[in-house]
Amino acid sequence: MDFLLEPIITIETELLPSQSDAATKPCCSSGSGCSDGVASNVDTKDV
Amino acid sequence: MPSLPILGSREITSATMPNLKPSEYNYFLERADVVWGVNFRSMAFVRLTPGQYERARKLLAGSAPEDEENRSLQKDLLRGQFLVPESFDELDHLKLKNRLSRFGGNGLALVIAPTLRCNFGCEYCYVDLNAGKMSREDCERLKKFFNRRLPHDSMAAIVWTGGDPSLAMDVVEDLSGSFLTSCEGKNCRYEASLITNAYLLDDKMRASLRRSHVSFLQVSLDGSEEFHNKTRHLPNKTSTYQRIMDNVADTCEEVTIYLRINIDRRNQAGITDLLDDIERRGLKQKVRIYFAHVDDVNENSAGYGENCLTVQEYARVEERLIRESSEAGFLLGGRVLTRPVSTFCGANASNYYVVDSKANLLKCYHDLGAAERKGVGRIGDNGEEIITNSQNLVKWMGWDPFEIDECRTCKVLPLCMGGCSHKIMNSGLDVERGCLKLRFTMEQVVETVGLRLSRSQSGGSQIGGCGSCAAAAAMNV
Repeated sequence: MDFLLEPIITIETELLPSQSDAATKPCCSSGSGCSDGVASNVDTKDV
Repeated sequence: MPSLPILGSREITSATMPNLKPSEYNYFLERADVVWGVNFRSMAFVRLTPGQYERARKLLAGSAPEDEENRSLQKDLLRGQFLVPESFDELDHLKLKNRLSRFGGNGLALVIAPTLRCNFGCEYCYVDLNAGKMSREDCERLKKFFNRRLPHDSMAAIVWTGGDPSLAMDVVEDLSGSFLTSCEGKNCRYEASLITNAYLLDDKMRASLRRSHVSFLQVSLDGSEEFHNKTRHLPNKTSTYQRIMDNVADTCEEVTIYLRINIDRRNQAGITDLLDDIERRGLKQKVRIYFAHVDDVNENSAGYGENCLTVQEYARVEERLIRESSEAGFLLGGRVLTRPVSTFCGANASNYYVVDSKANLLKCYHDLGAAERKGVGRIGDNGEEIITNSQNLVKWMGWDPFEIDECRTCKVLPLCMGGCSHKIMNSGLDVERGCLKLRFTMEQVVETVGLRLSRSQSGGSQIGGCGSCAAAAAMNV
């Protein structure tokens, strides 16, 4: 079994504050609703 | 926010091996000579031979490993969290992660509309544009609010939107200067992006963006030049495509630009023409592109509904476009395979607000221009939050995807955490309206990602560049 992507999270670490993308990433907005884009590319994991 | 020691990090040995069960978030895709496996909670992505898969299936079903080969396979299944301890409740774990993020976040995220005016006249716009630029008094209220709400040693994330913020760059600059001073005083990181139609993106605006520490721009296009000019024009129908593209070319080496390509029923066939034009202009490796579903999100855009693709129709179109543009070497702004999140967006979180040009507080930018009915309150003279529509605040903060059966049983819940709550709540709990598109294209996406990762691992040329570049590019799938 080959790991092409290692697990990003582990049970032990993902709930630590520094690992959590604690609120929050806003969605983007430009005329029509969507769930991706520049806003969600802003690294807000510590926000 | 305190850390939560959920499980110890000791390595599991044969002596300490707990009873195991298969994860609820496993997905395996069988092909003739290969099986792709992904766990959507851990995002481990594996490739198995059919023989390995057969043995893995038995281990996942509870068989004990009887030889060294199977013990090694079981260890890998644990590492990828395809197998989890029987006593571990994955759904409760996601729930906890979601709630910590929503109610225990350390920082402040604001989407700010310095004006609700716009110089375009797009026929599908959902924003109620009956408001002008933020007044000096409201700017001062917002500065005080920012300073009150930003915790020390945290981070501020700002998204400038509108209307079009290019019509109020003086406000953007004024507020940015104050925000940066607050961040410096509180030892906080600061990150800002701005959403604009780019029609006014000239030298003067670029200088203003620099002074405002804006790191990312989002610019929307409606497909090919011909189609874009039909729908995304000035109010007097003047075309905008050429000027936007020229401005993007002049700016993209200074600020990271994400080109949002809007897709609807009418323009989907012409997207190739747009991609060809981006390449002709030498922008293929200079801007990031992503595709977006045009949706009639509220009553302001409701008349456009018949032109919108359904969620499932759009999901299929998007999957194809991402695959084709990725193979053609475009830089993608989003990921084909998204990563686990704690919340879908900030609308349901306590340290996130949308602020309109009258210093009203809302929870979702889809409601911009309708603060009186759909907002939650306003900012007071001393920067305090004054909640005037507590029923709306309760609606946003009380929304819980873990109470929705369709979400609770969905394999991609760890990647979406319930999806767009605005769309779901406003469609009478039609969950599909807010869903992550991956839910409908899992098979194609997993295969595309598997092939790309395999190529990059073997140094294939599709992803291109040196080994580390290839790995980075592959990760962006």
